Amino acid sequence: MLLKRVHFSGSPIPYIFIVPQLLIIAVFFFWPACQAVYLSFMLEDPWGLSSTFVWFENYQVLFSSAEYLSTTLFTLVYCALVVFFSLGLALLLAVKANSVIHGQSAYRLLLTWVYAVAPAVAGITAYFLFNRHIGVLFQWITQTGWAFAPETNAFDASVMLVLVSVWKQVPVNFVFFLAGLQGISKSLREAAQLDCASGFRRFWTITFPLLAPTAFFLMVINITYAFFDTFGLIDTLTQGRPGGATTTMVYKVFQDGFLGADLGLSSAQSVVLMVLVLLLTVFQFLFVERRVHY
Amino acid sequence: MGALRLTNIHKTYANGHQAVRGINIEIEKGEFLVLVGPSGCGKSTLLRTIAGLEAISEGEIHIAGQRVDTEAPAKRDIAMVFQNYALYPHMTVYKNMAYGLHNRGVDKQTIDQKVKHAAGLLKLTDYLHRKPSQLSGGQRQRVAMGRAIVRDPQAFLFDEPLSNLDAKLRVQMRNEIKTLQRSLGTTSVYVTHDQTEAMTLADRLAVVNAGVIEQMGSPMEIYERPQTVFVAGFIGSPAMNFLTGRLHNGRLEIGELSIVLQQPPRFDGEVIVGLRPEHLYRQAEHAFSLPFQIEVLEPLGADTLVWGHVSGVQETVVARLSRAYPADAPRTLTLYFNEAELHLFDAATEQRLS
Ligand SMILES: Nc1ncnc2c1ncn2[C@@H]1O[C@H](COP(=O)(O)OP(=O)(O)OP(=O)(O)O)[C@@H](O)[C@H]1O
Ligand SMILES: [Mg+2]
Repeated sequence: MLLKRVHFSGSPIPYIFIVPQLLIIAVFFFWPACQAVYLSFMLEDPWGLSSTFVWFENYQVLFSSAEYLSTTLFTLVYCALVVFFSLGLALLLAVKANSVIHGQSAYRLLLTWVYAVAPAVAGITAYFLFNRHIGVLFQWITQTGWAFAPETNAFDASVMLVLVSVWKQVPVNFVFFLAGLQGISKSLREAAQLDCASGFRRFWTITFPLLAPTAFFLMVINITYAFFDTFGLIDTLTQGRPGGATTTMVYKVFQDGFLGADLGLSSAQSVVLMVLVLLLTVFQFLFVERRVHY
Repeated sequence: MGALRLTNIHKTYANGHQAVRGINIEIEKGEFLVLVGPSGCGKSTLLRTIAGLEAISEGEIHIAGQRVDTEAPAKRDIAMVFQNYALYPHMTVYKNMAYGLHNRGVDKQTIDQKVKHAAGLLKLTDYLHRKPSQLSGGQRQRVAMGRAIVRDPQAFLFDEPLSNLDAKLRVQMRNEIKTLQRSLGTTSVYVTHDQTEAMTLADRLAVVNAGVIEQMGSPMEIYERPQTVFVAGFIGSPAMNFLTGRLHNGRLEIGELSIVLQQPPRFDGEVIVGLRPEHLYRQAEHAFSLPFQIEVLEPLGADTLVWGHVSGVQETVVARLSRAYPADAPRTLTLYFNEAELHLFDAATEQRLS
């Protein structure tokens, strides 16, 4: 295996080069992070006039709250569904698009351009699509006999949210998977064709293992997406309705902090999220960077 | 009945390019056939149609008496060795070799036995648990060979398997492939544009040009009696000298030279005279002589290539003289040749006159 590290001995130059980057991280990440940790130990009155140091009271309130538990559960299920379907669908589309010989670029363009739509705009588009009066998708769904009511039914609202989130994320995954597929050399695929008659089996024994690094990387990206980047979608589509059933952990930080003005509780939730991100990063380093390697 | 029979194979690509235009070959069991030809002549295309990686537009392919041209590649019982080896990077050497057998439902014990046997033949036993990225080019080449051998197929197909290796390794692997093929007795089709490889490996050589076979025969047959100007120029290094001349009543005129042939072909008119560089001699015991003006000397060690002109002839002529030729020797020289080593072609059709 190649030695990937470059060694500089004792020269200050590399440190000077990374100073701007470090400054940016310090100002935009470390300082707010410290603020969040600090605030999570404080109890502040809604007007911001006084605050008291309360040790772990915010965390105690948080972890004994049934509402936070259900939010966490919803977030995990939602995340799992979004990651699974957006990766699966993107992989399927990429494999199909890669085997198309004529007009491949048209397929690529069609499947990619949703990526350029901002989350909030995607949310509004979806809002119209699912609108009770003018929504095309709403019409289709009700025509199947399903009394679709995302405003009042938690399950329906979740389905809608998952659907839209997957739709928004598929293009990113598609681009990466397609690039991965095109990185597999033609003669390798041909060698496999000679060795294995079943296309299905070839996919799972040759193509998929070769895509594994891409898939692992995308999984981390998608988890981050489902946790953090779906804020805009939720805010335009459901705002956590009905009754907080579609509130994710990140959306709850916003609700409790900005709408409920409970800065301490909101900060405690941020800290929980930071720990989760930390774990995800460790996971990425352990598996993605080390294991999936040949 | 041949082990591999190609009948009237045509291949036209989707863009209308006719890569193969009517090829007929019958290969005996255990025979080593080499397809040789210039770049883009369609040799890879032909090989890939045999493998089933390209569909043929017309014709029939029979392997061991079975018509296979509509079968999937994996169903044709052939194994192919690719130029860039095409090893599965995520599998160990062992798994690379076992993969094809495993997919054919061979039991684990038989697989293990076959893989170990092939690894023994190819001196790969110590590398079975390595990944392809941890092997040298030559070792990867062997694994690719091993992957073909363990399958014990009806035929091996090779598409320039040695062109990614350095010159020395190429010679070594060439010999190993030949020995291995002999001992296994597996019918083989080998594509190359390297004529040394072609001459040394082939039981039979097919010279391909622009999608058709110009000539097929044993390497020496092709070297000694090329049927067309193309074949004559393609086989042999440096290439054969071609001089334009006239044949009239058994008298051959080349520039200022005029010689009477002992066994002239029945032909009058413009001819192309072919004479190999190694068939020009300095010794006077050969029948005919040429005055030769030296321009460039290329010492090769054992031999010297001498480039120059024959008076009255436009084309540059090259002679391969044995031993070193002193650089300060006279710049004019008389070279000798034999009638038997002359190749005469009709200038209009470029076909051999015999
Ligand atoms: N997929 C394709 N579509 C259209 N034309 C093709 C395709 N593949 C090959 N060709 C053309 O067919 C001709 C024969 O190609 P082929 O690969 O058989 O050449 P080759 O004899 O193997 O040459 P080389 O020695 O360079 O490998 C070439 O002119 C090439 O441009
Ligand atoms: Mg080729």
